[in-house]
This record gives sequence, C-alpha cells and structure tokens, in this order.
Amino acid sequence: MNANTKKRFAEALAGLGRLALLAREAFISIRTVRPNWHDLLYQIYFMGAKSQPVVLITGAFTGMVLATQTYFQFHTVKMDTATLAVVGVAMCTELGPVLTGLMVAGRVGAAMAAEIGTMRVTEQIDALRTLATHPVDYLVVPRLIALHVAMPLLTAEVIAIGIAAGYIVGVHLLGIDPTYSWHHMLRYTDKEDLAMGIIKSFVFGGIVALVGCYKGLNCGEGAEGVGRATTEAVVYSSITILIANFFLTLTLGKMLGVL
Amino acid sequence: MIETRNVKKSFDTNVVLDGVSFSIEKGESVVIIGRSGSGKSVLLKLLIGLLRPDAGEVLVAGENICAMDERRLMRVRKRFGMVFQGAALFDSLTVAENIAFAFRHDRTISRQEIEKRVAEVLEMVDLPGIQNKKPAELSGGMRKRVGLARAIVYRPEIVLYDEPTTGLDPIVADSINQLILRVRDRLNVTSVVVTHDMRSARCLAQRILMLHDKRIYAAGTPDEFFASTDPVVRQFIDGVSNPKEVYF
Repeated sequence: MNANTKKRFAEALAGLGRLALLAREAFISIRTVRPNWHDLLYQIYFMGAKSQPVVLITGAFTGMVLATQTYFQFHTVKMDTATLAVVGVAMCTELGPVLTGLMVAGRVGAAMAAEIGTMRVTEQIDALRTLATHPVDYLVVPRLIALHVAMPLLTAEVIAIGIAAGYIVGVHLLGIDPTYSWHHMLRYTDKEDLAMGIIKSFVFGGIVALVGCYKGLNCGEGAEGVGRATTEAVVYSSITILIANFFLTLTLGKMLGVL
Repeated sequence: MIETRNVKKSFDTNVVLDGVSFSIEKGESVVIIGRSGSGKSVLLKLLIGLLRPDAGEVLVAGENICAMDERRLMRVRKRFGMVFQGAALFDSLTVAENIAFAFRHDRTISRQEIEKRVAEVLEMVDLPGIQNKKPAELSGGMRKRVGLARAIVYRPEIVLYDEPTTGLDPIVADSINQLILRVRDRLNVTSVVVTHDMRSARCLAQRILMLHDKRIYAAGTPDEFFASTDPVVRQFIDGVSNPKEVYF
C-alpha cells in the first residue's frame, strides 16, 4: 500500500469516526435537550410534505413498470394473476423504502448539506456556538427527528401509490383478472413485508440526515467546498442506503421471519 | 479575566501561533493588531473556545477552557459576545430573531421583555425599528451593527470584535468605533478587538498587542505604540510594503 492510499484510507476511517461521534452527540442531544417544536415542524413540512410530489411520481411509475415487466414474464407461464403479488412484495420490502431513500437523499440530503455548509463558510455555525447553542441541538437534531418521522410516512405513500399504479396498469391496460390479482396480492404480501419496508425507511431517514448534516458541518471553504459537500452528501448517503439495505434485508428477514 | 499561556496553533504544517502569552484584565479594552494572515482571528477564536490550541492554556476567569468539551464551553461562552468580520447573521431569521436568538431556551424571560431588550439594543446601535427586516436587506455597516446588537443583548462580560471596520468606508468605520466605545462605557464590558486598521486601534485601545512572527511581538499603550521606533512596528503603523521606506 503506497503512502497516498494509506493517507486516503486513514482519512476515510477518520471521517467514519467523526460521523459516529456526530451520531452519538445527536443521540445525547435527543435524550437531554428539548427540541424546538417550531423548527421540528418546519423541517417535517420541508422534508416530508414538500418531498411528496417527487417520491409519489417515482413510486407510481416504478409500480407501473414493475407490473408491466412482471406481467411480460409471468404471461409466458400463465401466471398473470401473480403479477400484483410481486408488485406488492417488491414495493413493500425493497422498492418503496429504497427509492424513497434515494429520492429524499437527492432532494433533502443535498439541501441540508448546502444550507449547513453555507452557514459554516459564512461563520454562522461559529456564531451559533458563541451564542451558547450547540450546532447539533439546533441544526442536526430537528433534521434527524424530522426525517425519522417523514421517511416512513413517505415510504408508506410510495408503497400505496406503487401498488395502486401497478393495479391500474395490470388490470386496465394489460387485462389481468382483478379479483384473482387482488386475492393473490393479499395472500402473498404479509404485514411483515410492510413492517420491513417501514423499518428500513426509518433507518434510511437517519442515514440521509446524518450524512447530509455531517457533510455540511465539515465542508471545505468557499463555494467549491459547499458544492463538493452537497455532491458528496447525495453520493455517500445513496451508497450507504444501498449497502445498508442489503444487511437490513438479511437481518430483518431473519427477525421478522420473512426469510 | 482572560489569560493565554504559551498557546500554539497549527493548521496541517502551517504554524500560525507559536507560544502566545498575554493577559487581559476585567474592563480593559485591548486591540490586537498584525498583518493579514498573522493569526489574529485564530487567536480570537481560541479565546472563546471556537478553536482549540495544540499546546498551552487559555484561561477565562481562572478556568482552563482548553480541557472543556463543547457542552461545558457553552456555559463559559455565556460570558462572551462576539462580533464577526462578516457579521455572521442567520439569514433565515429576521433582525429581531437574530438578536433574540440567545433567549431561545431562556424560560425566565418573557416575550415582552425580549422585545423590549431587542428594541433597546437596536436603539443603542442607532438602528431603531428594523426588527422585521431580513439580513439580506441590510448594508454592510448595518449588518455589523446588528451583529453587535446580537452580541450585547444578553449583557456579556466580554465582547470580542473580529475586524469590526473591515470593508466599511471611513465614516461608517468611525461610527462603528464610536459604537464600540459606547458599548464599552455603557455596559462596562471587557473588549478585545482584532484589527489591522490603525485608526481604529488608536481610537479603541487602552492597550495594543501586536502579533508578528507567530507570537506577541510588542505590547503597549497606543501612545507608546505610535511613538515606537521598532522597524517592524513602524512598518505596520506607516503601512509601507518596503521596510527601507519606514520614516522615523
């Protein structure tokens, strides 16, 4: 391993360490400091309500394309009425939470990193600290709690609209029998599948909030630093969501008895 | 009130401060001067715990703040107010919300009392009635005044000023200097001003400290400073780039 690789590896480890310390500080703050309700509600509105158009469009078209592709395959083996069951399970366990996570990372993670990063380069974070306010209490915790609340709600909406869109395409466009389709979907989509999706979305909310805030709080100087922090917030939170999703699938699958 | 003992600070391989020691008495008005990049703002941030020294101690009222974590430092920082070079106003908040920020979690003070205090400090900085404006609507001089109002509204014992007159025209700069003197006299605060504006230094200082070559190079009253024959001090006071052009 050459010196440059060693240095980059050490920096990556140090970054992970700082992220863990930020998570710890946020956890302490949630337990000990009363959140400001006004800030919290605003963040829930900004991150949750205002993200709805983006995630709902994503969910609807994903449900439609999934139903279409599944139908194409199942039709060849005369299993047309199992189409909605696949859509239901896939939307609940994987596509709902992961796509919501990725879309929210793109919209909200980037905004968080840019806002906090700009505050950092204009010394507003230092100003906060001189006013005896911990940046984690004021900036990180409201965003973290807001995403923990908003992500499961957004994911539930995405799952619902994805299944609904898949049903409409399957039944009204592809001509699948509605009664059997609905029956099979209810039979094969368990409440454990839905629970898995909602738990995943809760975790993904934490990932997007922590990575976005971390990148903002540690961004470099000037416009370039803010730009880089914004890009990195989206890239790192998206990659982390995809990696975490695999391990969550294994762990939750065992715990919920899905696997 | 504030004391630094052999403070050292580096950023990567760049040594900024190398053994800085001085003390500031309660109620004193100290101006720290030095060339751009000499570490004045770093020193100011070390005094309030925004940065931590690599070595040495910073004592505030006898307490070593270098050993404190961020939450313990928050208690110490209630003694301080700080005015930033670019004002550092929170741009998502109005002027009134910026000034009242320190009272966000203070349940001992009523909303009416907060509004009264905000109006009082805005009056003191000659900006009455701008409570509902956003920072983006203010000029550079107004932003600095609002930054000062925010720093003094909770009546701190020490006020730190980071380049308070930088980027302002001479008339506005002088009005800021007068304001700093007014705040010092009315609130009886300890003032630490970082500047490279010699006019401000002469106007504000009871004592001047000069940072040069990573340490306190010279210290004295304004009269002693302006009468100095030391070539480094003279070069800075006269503002000449070539030391051979220094006139004694």
